[in-house]
Amino acid sequence: MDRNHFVCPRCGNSDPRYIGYRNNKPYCRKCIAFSGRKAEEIEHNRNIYLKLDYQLSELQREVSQRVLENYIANRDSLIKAITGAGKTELVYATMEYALKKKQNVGFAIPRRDVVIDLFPRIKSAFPNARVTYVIGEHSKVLTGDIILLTTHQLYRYRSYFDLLIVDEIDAFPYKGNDLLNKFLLDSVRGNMILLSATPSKEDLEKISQRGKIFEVNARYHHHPLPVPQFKRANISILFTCVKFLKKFLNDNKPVLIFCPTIDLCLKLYSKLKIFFPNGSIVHSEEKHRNLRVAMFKKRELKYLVTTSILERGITIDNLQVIVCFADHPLYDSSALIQIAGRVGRKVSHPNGKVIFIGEYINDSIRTCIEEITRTNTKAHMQNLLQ
Amino acid sequence: MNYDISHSTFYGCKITSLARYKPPLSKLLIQYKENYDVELKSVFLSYYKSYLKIKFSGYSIVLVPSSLKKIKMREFDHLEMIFKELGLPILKVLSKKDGKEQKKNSASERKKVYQAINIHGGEVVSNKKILLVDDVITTGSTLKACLQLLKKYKPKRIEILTIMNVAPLEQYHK
Repeated sequence: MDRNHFVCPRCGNSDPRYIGYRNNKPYCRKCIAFSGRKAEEIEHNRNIYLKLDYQLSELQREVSQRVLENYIANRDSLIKAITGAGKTELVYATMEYALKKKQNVGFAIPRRDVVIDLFPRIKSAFPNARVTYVIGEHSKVLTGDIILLTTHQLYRYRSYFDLLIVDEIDAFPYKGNDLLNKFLLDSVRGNMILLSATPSKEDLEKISQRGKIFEVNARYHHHPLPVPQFKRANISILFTCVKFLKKFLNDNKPVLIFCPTIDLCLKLYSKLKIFFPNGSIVHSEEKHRNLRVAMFKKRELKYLVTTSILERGITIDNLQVIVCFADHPLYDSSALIQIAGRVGRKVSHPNGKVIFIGEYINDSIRTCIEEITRTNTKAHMQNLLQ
Repeated sequence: MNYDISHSTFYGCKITSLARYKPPLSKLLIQYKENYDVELKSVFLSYYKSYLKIKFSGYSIVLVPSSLKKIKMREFDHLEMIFKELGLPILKVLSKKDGKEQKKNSASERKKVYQAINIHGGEVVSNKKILLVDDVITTGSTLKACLQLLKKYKPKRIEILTIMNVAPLEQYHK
């Protein structure tokens, strides 16, 4: 069969550029990275319970209950929860329900390190459950009562999950990837719960057709989201950045400085460290990044220059954020919203500064600021704020 | 791609390796060998191909053997596909008895591998410049075993070429 007529039976690809030949037989190269062992069904014979050491807020309890009711009614859910809303806890009640009914439960996340971060939290919430995480790298065990996995690994679980929770649907590499999307849909035989702070229009449309959307517009501590401030770089980005960094460091507040590329980070840091020696730099090619983040958390480092690798998941008390080159094309409004969401997550310091430095306010910056302001207004109208 | 050529000596022979064993190249090699993605065959030597063709001009290639079972399973000899690109004659004098895959062996078990490799028709190697090739050098036991077998037939010289090395090449220096 020649290239132009071959259709891959697994992923439906017919683009001849992805067709290769092995001993004159065609094979699909688009889904070849998704080959491997498939997961078997196992027996769930424990009586699994949920154990939470802390109280959920009233808002969290309410949304949690409504999501559970939606699941019982066999519908999908999308939870549009703002950064710092405590969204993981919102699905615990539904997980407990599904686990007690001996169903197959999965929790998928686009990024590997976030799966690893989540593992101890789920283990302590469900202490007598077998919790496995599957992140590639020749994971030996593919099954458990609760399976945490990267979205990539979903190809191993065809029609497997009665309940699949997918976190950060707006994150790379899952976002916009047809294949990952397909394997995700194929893996669900029951219903799913999607979690995102910044879902796309398409996500919202798809869910509203066959499921329900729930909004959580307030953080668990009921303070509004910090709204970013735009500062035009009059003399230079470096100059404006130094001005704010100096002030924050004088007030003894930890600072994250975001730059859109590794190259810009390196250039900026090489100049900043002359004036401010007690900081460091973090990016995906930096071997010691975990150590540096740990030191930053312990306040041994006073600031970090970073790429979007720290855009999600990190929580630091009293954090201030500076985004350099905020008008760079790599920053869409979701990325800026996620970055701004690093600030004010702890009740001890619910406010903090988010400074966007650039040459002008572009659409992404404008949308980001409008969306955050709109969320705060909604939360205020819903009587969720202090 | 993380190409980073390095040179050293290994049991009296010069060894060249094209990269350290880590992503993205290691992932591509796994995709090639275990997912049978044959079209990747030209990727591994591509970066240094012209340099290698000049450096090893006049050499004959001897492949480190894979078991016949694996060749049958993959439906292709993965090393042969890669090193054919250099346009040098390939002498198939080494073969492997079926047994446990090296990658599943501990370091001590790997050292017993010399018992599992055979040479036949080794006379063709005499007086020739031989390039012994493999995809990854891990402990070096496989290459050492191959070298010992080849040296018996007195080639003019032997050099080694691997695509990736797990440890820095100096650590294999003997």
